[in-house]
Amino acid sequence: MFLNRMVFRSLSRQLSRRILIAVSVGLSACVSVAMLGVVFDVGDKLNAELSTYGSNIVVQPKSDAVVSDLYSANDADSSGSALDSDPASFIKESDIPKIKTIFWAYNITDFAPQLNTHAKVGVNCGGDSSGAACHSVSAPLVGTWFHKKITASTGESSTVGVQGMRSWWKLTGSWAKDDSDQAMIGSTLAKELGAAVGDTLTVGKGNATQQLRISGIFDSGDDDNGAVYLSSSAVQQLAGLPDQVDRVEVKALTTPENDLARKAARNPGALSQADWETWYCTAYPSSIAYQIEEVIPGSVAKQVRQVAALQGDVMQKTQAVMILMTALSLIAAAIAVANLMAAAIAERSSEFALLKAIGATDASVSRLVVMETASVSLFGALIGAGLGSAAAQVVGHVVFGSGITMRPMVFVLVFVLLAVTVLAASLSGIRSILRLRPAEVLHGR
Amino acid sequence: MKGRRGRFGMGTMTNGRMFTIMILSAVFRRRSRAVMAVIASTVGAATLFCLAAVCIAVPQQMSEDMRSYGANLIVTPVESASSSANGVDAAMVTHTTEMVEAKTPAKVATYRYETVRINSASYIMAGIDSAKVKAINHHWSVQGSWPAPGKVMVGSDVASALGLKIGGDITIAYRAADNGGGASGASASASSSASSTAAPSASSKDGRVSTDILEEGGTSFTVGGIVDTGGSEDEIVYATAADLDKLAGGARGADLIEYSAEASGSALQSIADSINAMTSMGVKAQTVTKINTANSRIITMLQTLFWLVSVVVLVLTFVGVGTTMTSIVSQRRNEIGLRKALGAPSAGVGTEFYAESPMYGLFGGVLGTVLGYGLARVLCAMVFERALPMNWPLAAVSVLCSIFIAVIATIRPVRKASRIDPAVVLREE
Repeated sequence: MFLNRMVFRSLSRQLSRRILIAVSVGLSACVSVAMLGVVFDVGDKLNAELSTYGSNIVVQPKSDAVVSDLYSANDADSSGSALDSDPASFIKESDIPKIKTIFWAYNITDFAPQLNTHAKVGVNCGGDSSGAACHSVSAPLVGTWFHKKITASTGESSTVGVQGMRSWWKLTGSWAKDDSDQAMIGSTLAKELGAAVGDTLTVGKGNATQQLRISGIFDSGDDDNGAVYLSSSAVQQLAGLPDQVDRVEVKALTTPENDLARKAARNPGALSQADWETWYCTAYPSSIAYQIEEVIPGSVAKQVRQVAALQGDVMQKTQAVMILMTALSLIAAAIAVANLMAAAIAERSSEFALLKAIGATDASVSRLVVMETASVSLFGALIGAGLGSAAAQVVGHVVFGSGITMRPMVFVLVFVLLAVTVLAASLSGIRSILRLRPAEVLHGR
Repeated sequence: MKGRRGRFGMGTMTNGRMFTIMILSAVFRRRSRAVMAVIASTVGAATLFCLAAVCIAVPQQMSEDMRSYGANLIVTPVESASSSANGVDAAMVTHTTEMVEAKTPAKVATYRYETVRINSASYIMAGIDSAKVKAINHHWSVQGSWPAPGKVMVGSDVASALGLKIGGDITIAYRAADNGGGASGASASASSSASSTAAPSASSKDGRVSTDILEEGGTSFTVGGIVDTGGSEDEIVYATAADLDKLAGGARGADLIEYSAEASGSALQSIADSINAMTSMGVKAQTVTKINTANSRIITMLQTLFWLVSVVVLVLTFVGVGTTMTSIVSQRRNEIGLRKALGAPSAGVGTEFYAESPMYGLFGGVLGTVLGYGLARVLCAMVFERALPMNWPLAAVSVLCSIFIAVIATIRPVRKASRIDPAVVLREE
């Protein structure tokens, strides 16, 4: 109990000096907690940011992936646009929600099916006269989900659709509603037809015609500018293809590919059992694609390499930079703490010399020093950790627009690191105290 | 200080020398303290230099890396004049490229597309320059090799449809009729010089042409590689531009020019607009909005992230450095007291400290800047495989900063020192 009293007295009497140590430890804790917090969470946050690139996996019907453009010579003209022809094979639309039941279901952030077809499109043609009276052109139709609530067989419900996958669209008007007569048209087509938001759009394919209301005009900067987006049910009715879609775009949070993933992507069967399990249970684009193929009969899931590779690259590099920056700041923090601790102990050599002169043993002096340092550092570390978490949240909100999830691991790491640093620094200080000769010190230099 | 007898017993020396010696002895006699001060400012300067260098270099290098993941500006011929059938000729490609490169450095690749028959089924074949396409499309996953003379690279869908393996042979035939009226006319005129047989009558009778194809049998190529991108490239057969020209019986301009330009956002849009404004060129430029917007968003995000993190770390590091310096100076209370008791004026004591601290700052700053540059260089080499040029203005800033911090940190303890009552201090509290 005497020791406690000594420590307490020393702390209360020389408060300002102890505060310096507490401040220094606190600052280091603050930096470390903030950096580690951000670094541990940066992967998830980046992944969410990277989804601005759009879908990274495309699911197609199996036969379509192989022979889709076998006989499309007529259209094929300049830009490799064999895709102009109508599809000949399909996936069942009712199978699509199964995507949410795969092993990595939580990593699937969004998906939208498409039924592509071509139809005559005209604006404000009136109900019955579909042709001669008004200017109409043949345009690609894309039947899709805009913002649809689906419930997977696991009972989990989620909202998916192209609305979350076209972040680069510049939109006039509003997004169309699912299963309604609303449609959105591309800016090029809108200009050609002279269409405006709110106009009635007449689409006709064969004998079937439909009246749609234009809810929005988008500028996508790619081929979609010449297309009409409408709800999948409307296109299915028009084309006479109930419950059929020919393409699903999937946006998934993925782990950057490595050698294992590349090997597996070529042929999953060639992997050893252990490798196969590692691959299957890691969110590589290729393993997610494989799992989607498993749940949707007759489908081929391909990763869109431009997006997947770009995401992987950005992710890996940012993480590497962040980790190196963190390591650097941790080292800086540790050196700062060690430096100040050593200085603080050296400063008090005469006090310890006096203690030794009046009969304190080396052990009790060391204990005093360690206890004192530990209590001051703990105080500083607690406050620093609090401030560091706050700093991490600020970074999260400014950069990513959402808070950083502080993992418990961060605090454990920081406390271990600080404990080691503080202990190492005080040990070197204690060593110098043990070597002190009371007489010399007290007598002065 | 005049008339004061220094601890060195050299009262006759000039004030200037005396001052220098006092400072030097302060540094050398308490080496451990000086080392601590220098370490503190080294850490500060190293952190400052390294973080700032990273903040400046990384987003730039990242955006450079992003440029190899597909084009952000594409130019196609306008589809009305006869030029569309001929594509964009070489002179116009050069002209367009000059227009783009006048504004921003860019990588360029051209594509010529033709419909060809393999086992009488039609496929699209693209004539490319392997090296240029490879430079823009880093993400194409190619097994085997890129197109070379006599060797084609097939899309993965084509490969699985035809059961092709690397090293296998395919026979590719070209039918003028497949490539539309205008195109066949163009290739007819081109191939007439090559004295081909069926070309002039090709556009008139389809049946006759296909018999021609069966007679000729096409040209045999080796499958050099299989490309997998997950996009429409999977359905295309790639050959070198020269091979396709030979197959089609004549050279023709490009159907598509891809640019991967360094500019982004509105700068890129203005390049596209300026190309579109020149209607006489017969080409149409379009930015690839999807990649563009996403790239600039990611870069902005990274920039904010790095700067913010650096500022937080820097502020905290400098506060840490400041406290260390403060504690080092305040350790010398006794000495200050002794000097004042011996008659040194407060100002003189202050001047000495103000001269000593910047020395630590300067020394530590230079050391730290060198260290920080080393770290930043290693980081760039590891992550981006690129050398980092020395940023001299930043180096100057980091040295000045550490001197500045050292001086600032000295102010408080010196102020306190000037209020020290020598009697109290000398009695050891």
